[in-house]
Amino acid sequence: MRTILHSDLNNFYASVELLKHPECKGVPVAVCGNVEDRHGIILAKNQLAKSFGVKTGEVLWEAKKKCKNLVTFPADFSSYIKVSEAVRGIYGRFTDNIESFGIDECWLDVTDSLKIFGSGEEIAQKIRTAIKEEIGVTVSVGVSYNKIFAKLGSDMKKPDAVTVITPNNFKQTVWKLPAEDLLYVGKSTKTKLNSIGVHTIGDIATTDEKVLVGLLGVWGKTLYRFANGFDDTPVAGKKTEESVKSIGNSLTDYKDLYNFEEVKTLILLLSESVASRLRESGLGRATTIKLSVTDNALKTYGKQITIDKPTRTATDIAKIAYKLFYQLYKWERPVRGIGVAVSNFTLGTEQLSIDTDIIKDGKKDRLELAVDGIRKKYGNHSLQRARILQDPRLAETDIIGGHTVNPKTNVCGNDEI
Amino acid sequence: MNYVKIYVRAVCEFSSDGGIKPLNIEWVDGRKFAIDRVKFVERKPCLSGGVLPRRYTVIMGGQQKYLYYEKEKERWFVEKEFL
Ligand SMILES: [Mg+2]
Repeated sequence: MRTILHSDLNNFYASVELLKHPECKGVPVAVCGNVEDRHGIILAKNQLAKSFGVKTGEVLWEAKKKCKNLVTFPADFSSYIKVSEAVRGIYGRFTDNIESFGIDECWLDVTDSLKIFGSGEEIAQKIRTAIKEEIGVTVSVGVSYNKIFAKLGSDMKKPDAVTVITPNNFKQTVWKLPAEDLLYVGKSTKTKLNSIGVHTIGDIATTDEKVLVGLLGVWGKTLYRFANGFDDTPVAGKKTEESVKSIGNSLTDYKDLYNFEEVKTLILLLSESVASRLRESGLGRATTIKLSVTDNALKTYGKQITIDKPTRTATDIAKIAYKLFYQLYKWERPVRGIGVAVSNFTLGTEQLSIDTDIIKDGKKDRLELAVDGIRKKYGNHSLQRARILQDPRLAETDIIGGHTVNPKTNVCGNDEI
Repeated sequence: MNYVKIYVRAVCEFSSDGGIKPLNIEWVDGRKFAIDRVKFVERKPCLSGGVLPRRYTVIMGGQQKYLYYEKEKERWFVEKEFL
């Protein structure tokens, strides 16, 4: 049996702001994309602001209406990244197998460290104490025998706590949680599950697997495994370095693609998901775009390019990815999978190049932000590109909501920070 | 209780195997204080606010004091209670 930890920094951005401004302890605090703009978005808040009903993702003036004395700080990503890296340094004392999930969450496989440092729970306590004492922020840690339960565990007690989920207690703890607490279960999956009377994780676990497959396709099988603790996805340690610093999405096991038009559709779908997550992350614009292609013999090719004009729109990312594909792939075999990733973020600072058409660029940006808004409100299927609708299976894929056909691929979190 | 930072001028020694050790600090009014011994160096949050400062626990004039090093700006500070 493996021992896996999931460690989640509590109210991360707000906690770092409190480190910088200790005089604000005991005051409701929020971190905002842009504090000057009344329409700036709340990116994070502390516990106190939460108790006033302040929500991540809402507009500043809405939040101020609920909480008059809300103190806001502009997002300071370079500090967040520094703290995040220091925290990783502490994880690194206990294992080298660490997988980041966003800036504030990590999985750690400590199976091979138990002889040196003690049980999973003891390691979790050591990590929790070290982070609090050395850095001054807190974490919630879930300890379990698979990634899914470890993540659920880190959510159960917070802040500054450790929760252990074992094969003996998961039915009493995990199974009571609502289905949507399970990783990758978005709104549309939840609705489908509820429609057949499945409301909790325990309901998923005790429903016939075939029923779930009938309802959700391959995805149903995965959920069934997750809910029963059968998940055996490894902690993707070696890839971590990249995943902190890049946002990517890939789709494989889908079907073989034989021509550029089909590939283009898939690239566009992936670019949309990547661009939407990039906008949500607040990391600014991306300067490097990377494309990877897997052929049907499962050989993978990759190519990346650094562009002069950083971007965060799907249209730009897709256009560059098309070009990369054209240069990279010689069609010796059909294509089985595609991955699109962006990195080298501007961290919120805007730098305009001389040839930037500010108005046109701003329009593209606003268009895609509006699309984000509509999808957030009415679901990811509410508005889709015609090109993607041409392929019914792709149109069904709720890639932005967080799951891909193969959930083992590099899917990054949409969790709030 | 609130704390303020007081940045101080410091004379330091760089060791050949890495690391900085403060030898003396100069107060705002020009008084100099020798650092008799560095007891330990840790990463610790400070009370006056800051991200990841390095804390030196030092003996100065027979007393134990904290001296902080701020890496980004490469400067030293002490903290003072502020009423
Ligand atoms: Mg968190």
